Amino acid sequence: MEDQIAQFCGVTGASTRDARKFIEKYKRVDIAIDAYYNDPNAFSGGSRRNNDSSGPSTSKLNSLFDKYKDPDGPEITIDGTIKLCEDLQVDPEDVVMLAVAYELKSPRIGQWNKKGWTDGWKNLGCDSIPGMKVALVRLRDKLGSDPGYFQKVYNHTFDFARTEGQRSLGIETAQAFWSLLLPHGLQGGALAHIRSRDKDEDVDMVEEEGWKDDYSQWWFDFLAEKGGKGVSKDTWIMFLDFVRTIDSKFTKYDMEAAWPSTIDDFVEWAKQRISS
Amino acid sequence: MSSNAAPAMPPASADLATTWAFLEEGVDHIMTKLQTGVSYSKYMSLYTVAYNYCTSSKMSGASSDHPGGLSNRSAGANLMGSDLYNNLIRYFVSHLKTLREASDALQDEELLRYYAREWDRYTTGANYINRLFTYLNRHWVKRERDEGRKGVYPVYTLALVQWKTNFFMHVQQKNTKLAGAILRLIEQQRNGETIDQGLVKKVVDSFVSLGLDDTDINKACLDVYKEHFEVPFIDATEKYYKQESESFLAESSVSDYLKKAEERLREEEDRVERYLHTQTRKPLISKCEHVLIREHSELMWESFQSLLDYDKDEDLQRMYALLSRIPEGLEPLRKKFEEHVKKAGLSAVTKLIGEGAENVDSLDPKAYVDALLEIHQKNSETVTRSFRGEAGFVASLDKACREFVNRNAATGTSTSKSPELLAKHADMLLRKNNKMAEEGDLEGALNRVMILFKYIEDKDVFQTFYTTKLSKRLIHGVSASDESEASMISKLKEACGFEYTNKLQRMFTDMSLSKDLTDSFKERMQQNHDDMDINFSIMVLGTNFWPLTAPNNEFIIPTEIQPTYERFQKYYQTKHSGRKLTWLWNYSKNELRTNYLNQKYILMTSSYQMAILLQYNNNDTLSLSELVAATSINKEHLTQILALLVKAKILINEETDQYDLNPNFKSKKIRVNLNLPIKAEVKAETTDVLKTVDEDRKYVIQATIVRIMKARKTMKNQALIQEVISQISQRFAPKIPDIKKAIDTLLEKEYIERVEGTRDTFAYVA
Repeated sequence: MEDQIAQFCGVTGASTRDARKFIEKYKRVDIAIDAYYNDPNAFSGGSRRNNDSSGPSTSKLNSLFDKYKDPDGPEITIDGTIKLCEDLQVDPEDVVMLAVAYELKSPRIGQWNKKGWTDGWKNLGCDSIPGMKVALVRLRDKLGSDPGYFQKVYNHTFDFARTEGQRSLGIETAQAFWSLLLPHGLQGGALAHIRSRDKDEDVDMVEEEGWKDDYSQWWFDFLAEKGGKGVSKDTWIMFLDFVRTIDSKFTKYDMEAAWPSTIDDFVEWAKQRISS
Repeated sequence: MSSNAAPAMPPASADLATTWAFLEEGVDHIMTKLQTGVSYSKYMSLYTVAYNYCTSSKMSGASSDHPGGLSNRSAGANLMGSDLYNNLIRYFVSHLKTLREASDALQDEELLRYYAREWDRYTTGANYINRLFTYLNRHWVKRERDEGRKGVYPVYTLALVQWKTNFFMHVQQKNTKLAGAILRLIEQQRNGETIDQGLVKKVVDSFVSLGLDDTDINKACLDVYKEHFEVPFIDATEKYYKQESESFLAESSVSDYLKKAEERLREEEDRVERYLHTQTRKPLISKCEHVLIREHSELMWESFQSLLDYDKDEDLQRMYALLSRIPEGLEPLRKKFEEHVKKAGLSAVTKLIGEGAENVDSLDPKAYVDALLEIHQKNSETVTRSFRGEAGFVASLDKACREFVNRNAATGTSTSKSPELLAKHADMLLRKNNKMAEEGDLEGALNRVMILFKYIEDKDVFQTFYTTKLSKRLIHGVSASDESEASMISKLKEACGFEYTNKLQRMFTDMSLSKDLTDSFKERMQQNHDDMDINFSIMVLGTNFWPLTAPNNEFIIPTEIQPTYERFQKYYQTKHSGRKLTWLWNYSKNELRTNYLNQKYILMTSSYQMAILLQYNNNDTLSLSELVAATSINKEHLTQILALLVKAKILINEETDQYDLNPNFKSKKIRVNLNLPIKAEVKAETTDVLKTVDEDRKYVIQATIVRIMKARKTMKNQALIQEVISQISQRFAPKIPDIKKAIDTLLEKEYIERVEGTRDTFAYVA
């Protein structure tokens, strides 16, 4: 027993108290170590939501991963992604997949590695297709309504969408992802207008209008017309701030503030469009 | 006046009544009829009696009057002193009562004369009396004052105090009769009448003398003067000038008013000198300035423009001098002057280019520069002459010039037009055959170029054009003189620093090295070859310093010059191995001797013309495609060159794409210059230069940002932009959108990043 505990501690680095509990339950060191890695906190305190029997199982996730995995490579690729989406009954181009990509740390479109897969799903608390379906509903809702979460997914999307080795995002690609994200965020409230901090705050309490749905199309029109070669990371990230803070008439925009110049140019362009 | 009427001198032990009777008679004599004289013995006896009374009573202090023994000694002395002192007061009071009564009937000047006369007499007398009672002053009065009785004065001061209370105040109480009389006299003088200034001075001085600082009687005190004279005087002055200036302006011009005001201010200064206390200068002058200038400053500001329009130098000078006396008086003038100069500059340019905007392209640089300079010079003279070169006006002039020099009808929205024209003008000046080239004139003209240069915002554009033009002057050998070139460069260097002229100086170095190189090459070739019928000279110019572009077309080197080409190539490689020579055929030129005509001509050509013409050594007729094949010059370019040769009648082009050598070519000149610029090239030059400038700027802005960020590590957007502008504005005025684009680029290249959690702060990425 003591040998086993020592062995367990040597491998996992866990405390002897934890080791004893694992060994006592699983008897064999190798099984105990597996269990430990599955859920190191299985025995620590009672604050866990799920008890160990209902917690997501690594092996289940592993086998699911293997199911979708590219037979010739270590990762899930496009084909596997499509199959997964079919099973989850979700369109591969559904905005929720961007949240999934963020959660599972998918580095590129249609590319999932094993660690991201298991850690990600485990964090979401699911290890089966039905569980994942439920999680997707939750994620879609969170993405639409939680500004902080929306921003994280939005920022991740830039790296996710980018072709490897490119600094910027092609205009068409960028537009496709904006088309997914912006309406969702605007609808659910994650992109609700934030009033810029006026100096005379208590004067004008009238509800100020912010970014309008139409403006997303204007932005695309503008980029197609004058956008140049691509969208830089800075423009991508700052654009979110811009959408959330700009007033509907673009009057509060400060050309000399630290906005990327593409957004400066857009505001010029949009003001002209409003006046004409 | 003998002493027979005089009472006998009382003995030292005489009582007060006796003593005072004797003294009073003497005092009254001194006060009322001093002119009749007082004998020395009488004076001495008065002095002695006064002295005796004070001292003797000390000895007899223990008399029946003052029981109490020794302890009363000082009280006794006190009593003795105060006896005399009180009697003196009584005397002054009654004396002044007579004076006062005599004055009651008097008015104005008569009153002043009476007052002055009596004042003289009174103060003279009081002086004597004061000395007479020296002992009293020194002991009794001093002790009294030492003990804190400030109401006790030395006899002379006592006399003044009594004058003030019993005479002066009395007269003044009647409608300030006294001061009123003075003010009326002063008003008469202001109205141009002659008055007795000595009289005024005397009376005013008495006001000063009557002031008394109770705590220190030796200290001057202006209470009485201020209260009874200065305050009403200043009030009267204000009223007088308010009324005068308003009615004057109602019927006279501002110009006349300026003269008037200037005169009045001078008069008032004089008045202080002549008969007022110097301390009155400040309140008086500032009141006058207020009434005469401040109150009418609006009007002056308004008429400033017309004075400028009609070049009224003297009036401008006057207006400047007047308004400079009041705070903020000049600011509106400076603003108007700035606007005026700006307008003048703009309209001069508008006039120059006339109605149509199409004249802008053909604008003569000299005419343009002269027009700008004329406006500057004229207004600069105005600043020196009328505004005494005051810094504020100099700044206004500079601001206005900066504005119209960079933005006017000729420049449109382009800030590069003025530097371009100025650089072109400088080029004309520095070329051979320039009319200005008589040395003195040229130097002056270059200095004038520098005047405008100072105002040019885009100094980098000037630099680029200047460099291009200089390179042409040097390559074509048309520079007027090395000395003038050097002088201009040193002026630019002085204005913008070493870096600005570095390239220019390197160009001169290359030129002189090339000369040596040509000579040594020639020498070597003469030793080794005897087929040197080609005269060859070379310029080897550093790529980084010369604004030259290599030809972008192919070029087949004609066989005639092939050997020379190869020999030089080899020679140069042995001299400087590893250096790469690029042959700039597009800048080279040649001279060809004709042998096919009766008259021998020398044709001055470009290399391309030379290559074409040499083909006719073997043919009389060539087609366009044959020429393309022989020279490798692209068709389009070749056609343009051929067109020039046809126009010069060297070649004949009768059939399409067929060029024949003209066997009957004739020219009045032996040397025929065929090397004329092709029009497209001239225009392209400007565009090229501007493109270069644009590229340079992007780089300069980025480099500046990186330099700043490296030093500061993190910086707010706004501060960063300001810093960039301030660091670069010496060279050109960077536009904010350009700076922001540079920031974008640097963000993308990850030289800098946004500090997390902030929208407007950047950090340097090491």
